[in-house]
Order: sequence, then C-alpha cells, then structure tokens
Amino acid sequence: MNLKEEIKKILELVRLSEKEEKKYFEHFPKIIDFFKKIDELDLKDEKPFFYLEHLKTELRKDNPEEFENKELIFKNSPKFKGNFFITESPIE
Amino acid sequence: MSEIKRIISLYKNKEQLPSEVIKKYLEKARKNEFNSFISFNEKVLEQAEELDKKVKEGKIKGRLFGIPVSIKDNILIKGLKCTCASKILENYIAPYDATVIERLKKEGALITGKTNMDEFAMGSSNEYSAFGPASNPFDKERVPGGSSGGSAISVSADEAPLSLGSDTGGSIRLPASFCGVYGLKPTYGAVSRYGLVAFASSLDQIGPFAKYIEDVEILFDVIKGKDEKDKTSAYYPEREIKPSYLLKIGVLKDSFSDKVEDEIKTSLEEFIKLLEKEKIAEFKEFEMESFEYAIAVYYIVACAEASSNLARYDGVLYGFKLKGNNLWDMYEKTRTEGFGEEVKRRIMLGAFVLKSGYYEEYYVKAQKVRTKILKEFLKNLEEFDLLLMPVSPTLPFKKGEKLKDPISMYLSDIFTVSINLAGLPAIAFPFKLSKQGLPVGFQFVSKFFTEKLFFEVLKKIEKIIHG
Repeated sequence: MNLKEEIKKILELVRLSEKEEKKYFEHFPKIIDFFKKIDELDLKDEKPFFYLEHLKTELRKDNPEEFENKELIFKNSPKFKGNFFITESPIE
Repeated sequence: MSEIKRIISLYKNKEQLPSEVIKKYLEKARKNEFNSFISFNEKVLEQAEELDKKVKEGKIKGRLFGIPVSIKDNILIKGLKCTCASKILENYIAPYDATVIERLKKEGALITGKTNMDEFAMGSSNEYSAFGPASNPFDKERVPGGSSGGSAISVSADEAPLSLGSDTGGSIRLPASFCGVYGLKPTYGAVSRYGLVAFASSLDQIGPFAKYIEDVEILFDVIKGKDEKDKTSAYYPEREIKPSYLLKIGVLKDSFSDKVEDEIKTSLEEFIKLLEKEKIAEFKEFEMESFEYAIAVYYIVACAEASSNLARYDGVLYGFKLKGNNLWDMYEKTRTEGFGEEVKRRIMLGAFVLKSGYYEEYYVKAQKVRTKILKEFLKNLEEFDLLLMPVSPTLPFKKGEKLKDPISMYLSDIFTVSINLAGLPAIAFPFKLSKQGLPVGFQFVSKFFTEKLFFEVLKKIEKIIHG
C-alpha cells in the first residue's frame, strides 16, 4: 500500500473525512521519516518501557455509587426528561 | 519572597480583603491584553466576599486562603466550562472538580478563570487554540510558549499570582521559560491526574506556575500526594532533603550544540560561573546517547496515546455535533470540523504507529528507546545531584514562524520531552533577560520525588540574583 492510500485508510480508521487527505500529505511522510531516526540505535538488549517502578498497579473494587450531580451533567444537554437525555437523531 | 505570604499577611493585618485583592487581579485579567484567558469564574467575587467575613472575624484558615489562582482550560472545575481550547468541547461544562481543584478549594484558593492553551495541550507555542493565539507579555509579536501559554502569561503579567498547567512534553516548562516565571513538572505520579483531560496518559502531569520559588513549593505541597481516584498517583515520600554544601551539577553536553541559540549558550555559561563563584555548585558535562532520539520517541508515544484518548470525542458523548447521512458520516463530520489541524495530525500519526504492520516498527521500538532514556538519566543522577540544561534551544520565537513546519515546531521541545518519557521531575526557572529584553531560563532535573531539592537550591539562587 502506498502512503497516499495509507493516509486515506488512517483517516477512515480515526473517523476523519477523506477530504482532509491533501492537507496532511505534505507533512505526514516527512514526520514518518523523522520517526525512523530511532532505527540508528542498537536496541537488541532493551526491553520496551512498561511502567515506572515507584508506581504499583492497583485495582479498586467495582462498587456502584449514586452520582449526585446529575443536574450538572444535564447542563451539557439542551433537552432532558427525568434521568434521560433527549437527543436529535444523529442522521438526517 | 512569597506572593502567597504577602497577600495572607495583608489579610491578617486587616489591610486588605480577599474581594479587594481579587478585584485587582481580575481587572487586569479581564482586559485580556495577551489573550491569556478563555473564560472567567463569574462567582469568584461572591466567593471572595464570603472570605471577607472570615477575615473580619479573624478566622483565616488554609495555606491558600484568599489567593487567586488561574487554571489551564484542560482541568475540570465543577460548573465551569472546560474547552481544552477546542471547538469540539466549546460548550462542555464540567460536572465535577479535578482532585487538584478540590485540594485548592480546601485550602481557601479563589479560582479566577480558565487559561488559554494549545488545543488538547498539543503544541509548543499556544498558536493552536480555537480561541486564538496568546501573546508573550515581553513582546506581543512573539509566542508565549505552549501548551500552557495562558497560565504562564497570567502569572508573568500579574493577572494571577499562581496558576496550574499540565506538562506532557514540556507544556509547563517551555511557557514558563518564555514568560520569565517558574514552572514545575512534578515526578510522574506525584500529582493526581483525576479531572485532567487526557492527552498522553503515561506522560501528563499537572504542575504549578509562580513568580517566586517559595510559592511554587507551597502550591506543589497543596496539590501533591496519593489520590484514590487516580491509580497512577503515588504516596509522596515525606523526607528531609538538604542540599549538600557544594552541589554536583551535570550539564548536558548538547546544551552547547549548534542547534542552540548563541545567547542561550552564553547565558548558561554565565549562570554556571555565577554558581561556581558563589560556591553553590561544581559543574561537569555529561552526555546522553539517546538525547537526539527523544523527540521522535516522544511524538510516537504521545501521538499513539492521544489517538486512543481522543477517540471519545465523536459527537455523541460531548457537546459539539454535526449531522450526517448516517452514524459513520456524523462521526466524520463532527471530528473533522471539531478538531483543529494539529490535533488531527497527531491523531493520524498515532493511528499510523499503532497500525498492524507498523506497531513493532515504531511503537515498540520507541518504548525500547524510552527504557534507554530512563536508564541513562538514572545513571547520570547517580553521579550528580542535579542535571542542568536549557528549556528551549531558542528564545521566544515570532508568531507564525514555525506554523508551516511541524517538525521545526516539535524540535522546540528537544530539551523537555526526554524528562517526561523518564517520568522525572524538572523545573524551569528564570535567569535573566536577553539583549532584546526576552526571558532566558534553564531547567534542573533530579531524581524521583526530590522536588524539595529544587526548592532549596533555587531559594539560594533567587536570593543571589534578586537580593
């Protein structure tokens, strides 16, 4: 797959319009080339970074809680009824 | 010197009231001369008047009692807009407080407003904002640095004595340096990220801006520490750190490379001589093989994480939405119109490096270099108490100068990104003004959870420079 087709495929994957392709074609290959700089390093003895040792992975119990600020969430929606948002159809 | 202590003593002596102090700062901030604010907290005067009563009753309580603080517009404050300087969140109202905001409020801070930034914290100049670029207070034709440009300006231009920003690859230190103030990027995990809109979760940290080092220390003490709501936050080890009589400071060899502007190099030499003369430290150069690869590694890792973090903005969950012929079309239209160009570029780069067939070639390799960067830093920090380097290879540049060439913009972060990749703490501090009257600053790096060392050393340096 050439880079032009690759960019079109990525635009589709990240839900951006194909019309954007021209806008990104100028810089995208240069940046990808720039990324390739890391090939100069000898990495055969290195392991990929996973996490910092001072941070322990912790899991909390999944306890359901009542969210008390519903009115603030509803402020982000123009219409609501009871505990439900009223939305317009996403399609025309 | 401490602006926090000065203001609190005004209250204690009943010379001024919080509402009077807040009016003074707000008057300046609302003029928005440098486009540093996106929105204001309309209730702050009311909140200050509540504190007036406490001053009159002699009930002053809290380390930030009645202190105005501005907040970068990617940190949630309950009931206020949080736009991330993006059209896609232009009307989003935060339903809860970030942990750092809860901690500020508990100590009596007054939040004045939300500051300008590069969209979703992606940028080094504060030019990628849906609300227009911000200007450097020392020269309006120049950039204030990014992405937390508005926060740095607000402190530099006396629009607020304190501010909070976020630093993913230099977004606190670069604007702090360009605007002539202090900016701290804490150890990864030292400050809770709960309520910070995610850009690159393994790199993002919230940190303070202030004009005086003592204020940075007070603000950091308020916001740091474990938070049950952020599982990547850590218990901050409380231990006494006293700088040795003569510090050993390593100077990164690349600080004197051809890529660094001459005036920054000569100022760095001047700074080193000053500290040697005052018998504060001795200096030795050190090298890092991975240094020149850090920008590539950073943009691979940060873009990969951003492409995942920003997938949630689809027109369904948050405010901005454009209608389409079908659900897929609605997503595309909303995201294409809602995001700015740099954000879209980074989402695409992130999706590219994570794509099947490229993942091993870019992302896994970058994470291996990241390990190498961390190892090299830790090795050097065994030999030195602190590491010293510039914050930026250039002085604040002119607006528009780097907009047409993303790689040249990315290279502004060459001295900052490796520290985020390693998770270490770093602080940008002001040193002097250039011949053109622009701020020149440098940064110290130290071991995990040793921010206290920055504060102690910089208090001494501040005294020497400012008396």
